[in-house]
Amino acid sequence: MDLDTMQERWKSLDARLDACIRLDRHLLRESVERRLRSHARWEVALRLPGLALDVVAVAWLGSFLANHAAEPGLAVPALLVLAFVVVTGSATVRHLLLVGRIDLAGPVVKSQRLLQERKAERIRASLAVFLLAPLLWTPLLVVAIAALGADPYRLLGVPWLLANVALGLVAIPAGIALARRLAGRLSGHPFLQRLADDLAGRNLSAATAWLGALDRFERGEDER
Amino acid sequence: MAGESPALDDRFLDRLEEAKRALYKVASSWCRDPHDRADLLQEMVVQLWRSFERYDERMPFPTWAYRIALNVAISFRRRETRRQRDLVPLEQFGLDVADADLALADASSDVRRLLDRVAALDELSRALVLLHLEGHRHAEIGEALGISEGNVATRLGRIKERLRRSMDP
Repeated sequence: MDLDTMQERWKSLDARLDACIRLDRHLLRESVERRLRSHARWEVALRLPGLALDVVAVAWLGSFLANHAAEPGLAVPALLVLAFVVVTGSATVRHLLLVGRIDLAGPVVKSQRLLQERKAERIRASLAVFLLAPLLWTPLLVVAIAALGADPYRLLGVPWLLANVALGLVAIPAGIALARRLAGRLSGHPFLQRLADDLAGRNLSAATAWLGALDRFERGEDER
Repeated sequence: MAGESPALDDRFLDRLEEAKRALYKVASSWCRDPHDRADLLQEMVVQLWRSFERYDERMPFPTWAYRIALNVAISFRRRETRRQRDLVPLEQFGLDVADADLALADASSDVRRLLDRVAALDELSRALVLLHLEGHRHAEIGEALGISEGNVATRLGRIKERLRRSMDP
């Protein structure tokens, strides 16, 4: 039995399938609209307010930096927080631009490549947030206290602040180790599962491997 | 923004009638589990609607729908997590495929064996074989997948040989 012979048998199913599959227009309208609302809420809830906050944060941090440019103890922490906000904000913009470029009716290899690039972008942004957050919360605290008019170094003490930085440095490998331990074991908790798989590097590896497979397919090479 | 899309119009639903078989065939080749298949079919319909305003009438609707169905099916299998909260049984979604499932179960043993073999292929080869089974020419398959015509011919030749060996008794 070969594929060309099977072509006829495969096509012979068509008339029967056409008669068997029934659409209920009323239900379809309701269901699709419900699902679309859910998709839209998810995008709006996660992306746009975050981006608006980033813009506000950049403006505020820029003003803070201008006021404290001559004080390295305040300018450096503010600069670190600003860099973080700019990096994560630009990742969100890149993500939204990629979403706009994806045409699912386009050639499969091209669409899949864009989808994977978007996924890789999202994973890198997650990694940046969760890996840098333990280190960045100390400069953020310094900036916040200074913005309230107090001296953070006098209020909290340099040793306490350094201990927090050290704790952050320990928290990063500990978080990765925990994620590796939990990756693939949280199937009942989709959000936590994705987070653990992101931190453990599993999702990024999968996205990179798929991009490689798409390249090989496009070049006509055999799948490994 | 998807949430601002107008209500599903009759024009789209008429077109969906033309493409329902294609969606079902792709979904059946991708998911053997009925729940996964229901989820995939719903996702296909939603994505078709989201893309419908960009549909170019010069392309036959089933061909256009087939491309979207393949892209959705491949992405569906590669999704890291599923949003089960969105899933409703297919008949409540407005798409009744129960009789189609019976028709497929009644199909000749050759067709069922073919579906098993196709399901065992990698996702891109599976897409290529399905387009071939639907009777598309190499140039059309190449265009749908985004690869050269020569690449289609080479790959199809390899897959045919592999399937022939695996399907021989």
